[in-house]
Amino acid sequence: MPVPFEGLLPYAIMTAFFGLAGHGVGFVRYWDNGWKKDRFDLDQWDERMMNRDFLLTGVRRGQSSDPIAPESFKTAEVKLQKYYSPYSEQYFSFRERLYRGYVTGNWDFS
Amino acid sequence: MVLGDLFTSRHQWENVDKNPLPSDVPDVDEVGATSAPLVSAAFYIGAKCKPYNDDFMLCKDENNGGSIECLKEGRRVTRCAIDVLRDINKYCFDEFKLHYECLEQENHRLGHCRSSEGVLSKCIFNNLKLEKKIPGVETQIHLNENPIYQGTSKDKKKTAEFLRAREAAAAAPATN
Amino acid sequence: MQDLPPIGGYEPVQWKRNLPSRGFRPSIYFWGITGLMAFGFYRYYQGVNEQRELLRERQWARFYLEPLLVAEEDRNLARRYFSEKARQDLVRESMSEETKAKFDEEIYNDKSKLRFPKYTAGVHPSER
Repeated sequence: MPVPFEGLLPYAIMTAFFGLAGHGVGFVRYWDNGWKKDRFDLDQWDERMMNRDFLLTGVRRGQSSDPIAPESFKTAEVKLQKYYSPYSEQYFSFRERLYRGYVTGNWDFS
Repeated sequence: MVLGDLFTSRHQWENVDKNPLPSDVPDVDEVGATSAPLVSAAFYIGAKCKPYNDDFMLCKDENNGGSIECLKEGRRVTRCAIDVLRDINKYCFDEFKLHYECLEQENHRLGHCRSSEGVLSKCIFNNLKLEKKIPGVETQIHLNENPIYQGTSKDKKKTAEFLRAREAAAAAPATN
Repeated sequence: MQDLPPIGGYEPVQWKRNLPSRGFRPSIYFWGITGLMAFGFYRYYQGVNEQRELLRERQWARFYLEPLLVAEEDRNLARRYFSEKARQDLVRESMSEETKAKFDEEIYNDKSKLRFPKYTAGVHPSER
């Protein structure tokens, strides 16, 4: 029993737009990676190596086979560190900040 | 305090130290190759620099992970690795590039870049006399003729293209 | 009065359906499926072995790179360590005697480890 083509139109539209969305995002990611496929299934080693790559080339996913690193690489490392504050792990909305500031006279929540 | 500081990253700071090593520690160049070339060259570095690597790791072991005590051995390791990378770049630059670009596309899975790896290892064996060898196994996985997991055929195609271009380049001066 | 069988008896009853048997012999199906599954398991375990060897290859590649990266890391650590020492000496020059004595106290009894200070005193870097 043949199906009239009008019955298949919604499926065609759905396929087209899902396809457009998926391939579009895929293309943007591919472009954003510098025309390379995504890395996935990364372990700690990979993460560290990718950080090192960034320090060496200055670009995410950049690669170079130079045997000798530029002089700036020796001091390029940046460590993100945390300092103690009684308010760490806490979030104060703007309203809370104003309220606490006015009431306690202490405006520093760092 | 910046406005953005109010909401995010309030309790962290970037620890940057731009002071170089003191002058009584000899200077050495760092390895400039990034992850994919390093993975590609790892077995050749391992083959050439084994004594230096072992020496360094033994020193670390003996000195309770001595970061200060083993600087000398570490410099030797780095110098050796730089030598190998320089040689590979000198003799097999194109093959090396072919392989590490494939690795970069294939999530650094060595099993998906066998064709270009074959070309690279041939070039390196001819020029540097270094061989890739996985210790402690009787069958070397990279020499497997028809593996089950071989990824896409993209690498095969690119390697064939590379070889064709190379042949054409070799044949061109002969005809002229 | 009772009915009797017809003269010459009843006609034979057709109790068996007269259909042609389809397909192959059952044993062919049995051994066929067994063989197919055996082949599948064989390939599967081949694949398992191959995955293990691929992992081993990656591990060895990392083992060969490790000394080089550790050496790099150590130099960086030593650089920061010496720089921190220099900074501490610089601070000491402008210290009173009692403060100096307080800073000279050992924090840890275990001297076998290189301890890089994680937290440093001072104001927030953005306010410097």
